[in-house]
Amino acid sequence: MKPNTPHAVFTTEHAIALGGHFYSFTNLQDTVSAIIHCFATDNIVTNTEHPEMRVLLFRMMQYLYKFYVKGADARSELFSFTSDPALIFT
Amino acid sequence: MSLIDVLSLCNYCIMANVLDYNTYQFPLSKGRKPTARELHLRDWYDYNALSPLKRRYFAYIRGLALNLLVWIACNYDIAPATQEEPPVESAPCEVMIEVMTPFLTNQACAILNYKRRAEAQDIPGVPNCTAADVQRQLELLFYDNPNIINDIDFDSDLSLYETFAFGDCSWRVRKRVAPMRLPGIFKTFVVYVLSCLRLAEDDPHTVGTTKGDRMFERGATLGFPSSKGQGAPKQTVNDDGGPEQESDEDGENRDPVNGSEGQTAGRKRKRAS
Repeated sequence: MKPNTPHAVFTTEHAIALGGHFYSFTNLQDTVSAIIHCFATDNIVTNTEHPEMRVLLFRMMQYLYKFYVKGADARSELFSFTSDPALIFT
Repeated sequence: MSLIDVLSLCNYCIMANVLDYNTYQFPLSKGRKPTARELHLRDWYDYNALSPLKRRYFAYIRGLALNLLVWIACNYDIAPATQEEPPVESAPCEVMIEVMTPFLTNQACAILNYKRRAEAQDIPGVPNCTAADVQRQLELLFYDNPNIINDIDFDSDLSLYETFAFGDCSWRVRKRVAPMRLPGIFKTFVVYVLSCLRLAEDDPHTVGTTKGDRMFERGATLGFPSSKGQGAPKQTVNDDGGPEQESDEDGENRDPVNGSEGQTAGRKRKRAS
C-alpha cells in the first residue's frame, strides 16, 4: 500500500493482525505528506503514531548524504541493505 | 527515486523537530497540561520533552539535509522544461532560490495553514500543540538562521498554501557539465544576496543548529527540571497519583533564569553536604 493511503483492517473472525512498515525512496513525497496529516489531525486519521519509525527516514538521509556528498561506494558493505536490514525494513 | 522525493526528505529532516510529538510536551507533565513554569521555560529556552541528545541528532540530520541540498545545486542544473537549450548553466544559488527554497518555505507555510484550519474545526491534533506553538517552532527554525531563508511572514494569511506537494513539474533536471566542488557549505539560503557564495563550516551540527537549539543550550547550562528529579520543581503526589506542581502563581512570578539557577545551586549544596 502506498503511503498516505486511507485504510482499515476488516476480518471475518476475531484476529490478531501482524504487519510491518517500510519507507520507499520512490514515495517519499507521499510519506512526508502523510506525516504532516498525522501531525495536524492526530487520532482523526490514525490510530497510532510510529515515532520510532522516523529514525529510518533519518538513516535514509544519512545514506543519501554519504552516497552523494561524501562519494561513498553504494556497493560497499556500508550501503548493503542486506547487511543492515533495519535501514529500510523493521 | 526522483529529485522531488529527495527534496521532500530534505524538507522533512530540516523540519523534523517541528513535526515531532515531544517538541510540544514537557518531561514532568507529558501528555498533560503544562504548568506555568514549564511554559515560561519554553518561551525563554525552548524547553520541552526533547532530550539534549535528540536535539543534537535533529541538528545533525538538519545539517546533512542542508548540505545535501547545496550539493545537489552544485551538481545539477534545474531549468524550466520549456527552455530548449539553456545557453549557460544557472548558478547553484539560482537553483536554490528558484526551486529548493520555495518548496521548503511553501511546505512550512502549508503545515501552519493546515494546523490553523484544523484548530478552527476543533481538531486538536498532537496534545498541547496549538497553531501558535507550531508557528513558534517554525520561527525558531527559520529566523536568525543564516543557513535557511528568513523572510517568511508566518503572521500573514497563509490560506493560499494548501498543498505539501512540489506541484510545479515544469522543470528539467540535468547534470552539470562542470559540477562545482563543495569544499564547504556556502550560505545560499540567505537569498536575494546573490554574491553570498561564502564558504563556511560544513560541519552538520553547526549548519543544523537553530535559534531554538541555541536558546536551549543557554538554558541547559543553568539547569532544567528533569523527569529524573534533579532540579525538578517542588511537587507532591496528588489524589490520583499524578504529580502536583508548585502553584502557577509562584512559577509565573519567578524569573526562569534565577529560578533555574537556584535549583542548580541547591543541587550543588546537596552534593557538598
